[in-house]
Amino acid sequence: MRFIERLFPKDSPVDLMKRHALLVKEACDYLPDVLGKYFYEQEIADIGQKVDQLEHDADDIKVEIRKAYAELKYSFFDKVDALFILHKQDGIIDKADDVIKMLMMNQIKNLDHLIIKDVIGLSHTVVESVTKMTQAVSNLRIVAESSFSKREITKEKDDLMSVELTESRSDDEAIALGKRIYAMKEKMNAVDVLFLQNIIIALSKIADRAESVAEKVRMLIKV
Amino acid sequence: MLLIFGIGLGFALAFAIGANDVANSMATAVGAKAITPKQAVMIAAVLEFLGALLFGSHVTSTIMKGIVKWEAVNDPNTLLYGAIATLVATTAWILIATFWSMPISTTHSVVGGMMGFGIVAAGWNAVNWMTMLKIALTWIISPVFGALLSYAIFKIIAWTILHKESPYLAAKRNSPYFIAATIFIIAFLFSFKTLKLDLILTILFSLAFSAVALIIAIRIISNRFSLNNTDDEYEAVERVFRKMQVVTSCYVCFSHGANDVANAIGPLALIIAVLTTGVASATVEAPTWVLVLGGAGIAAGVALLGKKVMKTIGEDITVLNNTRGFSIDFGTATTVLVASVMGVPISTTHTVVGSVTGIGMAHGMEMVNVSVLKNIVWSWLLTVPLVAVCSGVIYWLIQAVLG
Repeated sequence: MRFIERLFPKDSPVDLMKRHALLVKEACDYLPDVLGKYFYEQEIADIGQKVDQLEHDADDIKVEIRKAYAELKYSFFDKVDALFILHKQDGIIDKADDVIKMLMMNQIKNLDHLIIKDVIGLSHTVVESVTKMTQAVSNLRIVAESSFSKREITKEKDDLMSVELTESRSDDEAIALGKRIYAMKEKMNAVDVLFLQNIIIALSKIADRAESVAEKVRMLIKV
Repeated sequence: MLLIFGIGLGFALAFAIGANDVANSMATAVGAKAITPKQAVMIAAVLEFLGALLFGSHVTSTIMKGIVKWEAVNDPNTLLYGAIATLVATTAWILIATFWSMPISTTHSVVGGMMGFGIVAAGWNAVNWMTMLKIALTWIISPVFGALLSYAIFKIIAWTILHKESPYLAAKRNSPYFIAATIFIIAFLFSFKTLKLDLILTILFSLAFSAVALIIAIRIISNRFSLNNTDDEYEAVERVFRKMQVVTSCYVCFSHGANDVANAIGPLALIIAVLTTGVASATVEAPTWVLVLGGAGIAAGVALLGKKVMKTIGEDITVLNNTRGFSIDFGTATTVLVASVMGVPISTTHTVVGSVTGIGMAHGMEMVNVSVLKNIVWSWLLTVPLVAVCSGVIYWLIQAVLG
């Protein structure tokens, strides 16, 4: 390769971050489906394999991003903040994988349909927060293309606010759901109560991490 | 016999510059998909030739007469053998560097070659150290100047277009002025330094040319561009600049031809001067046909071998867009053309690196592999002494055999 080409990264780290975020979103998109299948005692191993593969692909991109940032002298965004975002995105896909693995370990039977509906509802809210986070990460390319114009930064801030509001909603839903599950401790198996709470907490953590990404993106665009 | 040998070497060097060096100059335009490799070859073949013909004499004169003091050498044969030694050493170094993909500069090589034979032929005093110092300083200044210019032009694009409420409409309204500015600079330098018109006439002439360019650019941009439903505003801005970058690609080629043709024909002009006049006279100038020969050599190199190199570059550079590419080209071409009219031989390739760095500093792109910059500094430090030694040894051998 000629030296002039070596001045430019093969792939832009911002584009790689977007690709990573899209894989994270794809993995999280399986959550409502996998929960539905789980509660109705259907096979979920195939989804587990798909998420495993997505996690593996995301790890490959993570390596590329770290390598790219190590070589770059100038980047659109602060390297440390960008790598923090990557770390948090990685945490999301790990957590989604954990949720599926937990579901494969223990089967709760005959759960109240309203609880099932609300757990799946919570997973939809979590997916929504990850989707909005992915949008915010994808928009970083536009912010950079616009040379950090106020117009694009304002739009990005609105998107970030939306991630934070969705995360807040998921927290509310998780607390309300947790209270209802603990209220059933007399009727339900104690292990199942704790297991279900762990699932809910894991789902909440996914939204938390999406919010952490949003907070860091907010810091990135303050230039 | 020596004349034919000299012409052959000069043409071969010009050919090598065309095949290799031009690709570096055109890399940003091809990489940003402003032009295809085929278009780049056509543009380069014509514009390199024109740049060499219209502006090439200034730098050629410096290479020919500015580095070695003719009065210190005081022997036509010494100059003749020295010029041949310089051509041989430079050509060999470029071939080696090309084989190892080293970021070397033909300009640095030929300057080192002239210096080397001068020292061996007539001692340290034979070299015009003030000119050498001036040239060496411009090798540091030119990438910095390229960086500052590209930084400034990108910031102006950001303020006047990218930061506006409708970047697309702002691009349609404001981008023709960038074309007019480009044409103004070329016309100004050509009128003032080549046609040697007085300042008032130069300004009037340049304003007239840039006004015509402005009208044409406004008509083309307002008629040919519209916002597609699928476009975002920034993609539409990039489409406008994709076409505008064709102009700056021409500008880069023109400037490259103006400066780098001297690397091939400076020593050749010296050979011709000695062989035709038989004396070492400092008043002699490079004949126009030599400039034509150099321009033709570069054009031939681009046409025959440049396409493949440019195709590879175009495929490898994927992260560059047109607003950034335009800024890099503008910064590079302006720096190189200004250096050309000042008669200073600078490296176009290194100026490109400076301009790319300027855009990186402006947060305009993700770039610059640090190790590449280190390699460039190393090649800069190594090329001049290495080629100087080679040229000195070759001169000594020629002198021993023929002298």
